[in-house]
Amino acid sequence: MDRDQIKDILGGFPRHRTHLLPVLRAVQEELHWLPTWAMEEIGAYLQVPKSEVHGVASSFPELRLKEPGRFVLRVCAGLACYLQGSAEILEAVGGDLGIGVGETTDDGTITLEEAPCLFVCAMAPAMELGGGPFGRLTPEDAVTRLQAIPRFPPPQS
Amino acid sequence: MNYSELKSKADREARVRFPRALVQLGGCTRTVGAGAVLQLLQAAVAKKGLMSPVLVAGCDGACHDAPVVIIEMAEGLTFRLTHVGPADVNEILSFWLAGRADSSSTWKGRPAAWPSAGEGSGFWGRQERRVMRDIGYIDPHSLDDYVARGGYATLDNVLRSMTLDQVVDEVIRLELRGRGGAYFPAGIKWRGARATGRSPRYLIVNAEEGEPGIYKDRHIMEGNPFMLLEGLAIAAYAIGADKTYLYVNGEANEAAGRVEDALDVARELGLAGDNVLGADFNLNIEVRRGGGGYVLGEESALMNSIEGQRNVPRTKPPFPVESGLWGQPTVINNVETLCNLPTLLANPGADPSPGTKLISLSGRVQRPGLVEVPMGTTVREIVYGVGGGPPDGYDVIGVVAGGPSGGLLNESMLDVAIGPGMLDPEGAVLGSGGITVFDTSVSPVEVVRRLARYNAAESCSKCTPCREGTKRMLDLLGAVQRGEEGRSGLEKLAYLNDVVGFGSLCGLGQMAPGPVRSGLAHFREAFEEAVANAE
Repeated sequence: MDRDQIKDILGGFPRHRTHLLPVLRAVQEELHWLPTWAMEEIGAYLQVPKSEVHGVASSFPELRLKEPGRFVLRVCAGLACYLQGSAEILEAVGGDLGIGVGETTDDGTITLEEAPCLFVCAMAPAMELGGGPFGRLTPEDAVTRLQAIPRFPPPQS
Repeated sequence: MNYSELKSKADREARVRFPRALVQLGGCTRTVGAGAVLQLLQAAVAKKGLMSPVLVAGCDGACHDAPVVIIEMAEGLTFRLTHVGPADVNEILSFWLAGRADSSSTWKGRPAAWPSAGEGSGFWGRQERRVMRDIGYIDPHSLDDYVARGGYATLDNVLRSMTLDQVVDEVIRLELRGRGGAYFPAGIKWRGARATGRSPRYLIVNAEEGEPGIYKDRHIMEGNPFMLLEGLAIAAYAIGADKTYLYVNGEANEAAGRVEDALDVARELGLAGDNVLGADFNLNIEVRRGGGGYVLGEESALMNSIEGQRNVPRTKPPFPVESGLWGQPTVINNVETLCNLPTLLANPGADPSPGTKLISLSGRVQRPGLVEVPMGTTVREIVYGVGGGPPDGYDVIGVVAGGPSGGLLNESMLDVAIGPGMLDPEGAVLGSGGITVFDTSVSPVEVVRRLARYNAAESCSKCTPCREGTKRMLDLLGAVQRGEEGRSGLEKLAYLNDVVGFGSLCGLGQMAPGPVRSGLAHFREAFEEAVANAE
């Protein structure tokens, strides 16, 4: 991915600040996160100072200013999920991966996070793995799902 | 197309749509394999060379039954198959195709015909399904399905026979209140924006839905997106809006996708764009997506995000109806509010009524899901009657009403009736309609601490009392739990409640003390026990 490919995305939007969040979302969808250089390009295109692009981006929790692993595992930490055993899920997957919340496995494959709520509270406890949602989990189910992810370093591009 | 053309086409289609299957696929049911059921059923039907469609529907709210497959055999002969798994696909096919299914047929030992005579009680019995009526039982991609069931009749009537003022007056007279949590009369808001006399005017549909425990707007958008488009059209007409922003939560992809699909159809058939239904009314809609964070649901933070500014609230006043997006008059309505309009205005001259409320019911109940009950229903009826009470072997000790901005009620308080605003002066509110039940498997102190942890993490940091206070609250609660704080810890918590509540700009900070204050008031023993260890 280079600056030119970002420019294709930017070109789809009018050059007005109102499109800042939509552009940030579109670029993140492509890159999986928002590197500083991408925010600079966005600022230049929308005529918004790069400091303000960063300021806006950092105020939205769904925007990632740090590169995640290839798969993000988000265990729901909402109250309904907690009441149905999400702490045990988190413990089981964290134990299996050998990492804590906010960390990425050494091979760069999986990043473990807590989600404030996955909004499927009637399906508690829930988690999301690489965008795929899973509900009514047991710790064993959760670990099984996790082990279906191939664990090796990403191919060098 | 004009309305009568739409309607006759829809009625024609409705007569020949049988048989068909609808797989209830929403963000909720996808977590338990409804997507796989859909694919397998579609493949099996195709393999047999059948023409009968296997379509997607939204979840009907009984998330606990998921995955659910609806089979419409003929007019008035519908079946609802619950707890379907990938292994059941052949069984469904033989049920469907054998031609032997009738009103006495069963599925997994339960009556399959729908609506079932046995469902007069339990999960369905206490519900009054207005907004939810068709959700789960129509194809959300089909305008014909919506129109055949009465959709767009109200908008057509409004555009043909009512002036802007008449719509505003009627909505005020019918006492429609906002379902996003504040329960402000919708018509008064509309009148306020109109009264400025300034344009452009904006309508923002708040489908940001970022409060933990709430999934109602997602269900509506996934299950009946045309209802939202009709409702927002009525509002945009009454306000005289030049532009409507339909602002959907950044992670609610299923809901956003269906709304965008419906919008494409609506534009193609003249239900959005210029001269809607042939009338002198232009409906200019732009879909926007959020970027997360609890505060984004706060209307002024949401407006900032549309302007390309940081996700933090603004000072009020001025209120959005006077000075909203780019300083222009702006009305912000919730999805559920707008979806009440088509039915509300369908009967001119009807008496005002408090209406219904969608309740997202979760936690330790046997039948969690999304339910629609009349205002005035008690929390006890919702928890035990609709929800079926706690799992076997446990007792309910309380509920959280209104999520992290609400508060706790203990078991003895559950006879309170739901209605706009506060359910309890210590914190519990109806809010956007979240009720999370907790039982003897958890300490109420931990329930409070989890909510406080959320508020501390979600503070946008604009106001110091909220930014610092919510974190100190969390620390103190942890210390209380670990037995490191004596009774003075509880006094400090009570003091912090006041500081954060008084010293914060927006509702999030103002209401952040609710869980702690109500926990201290209604679960005093649990807190006393915790601090007693330190003394």
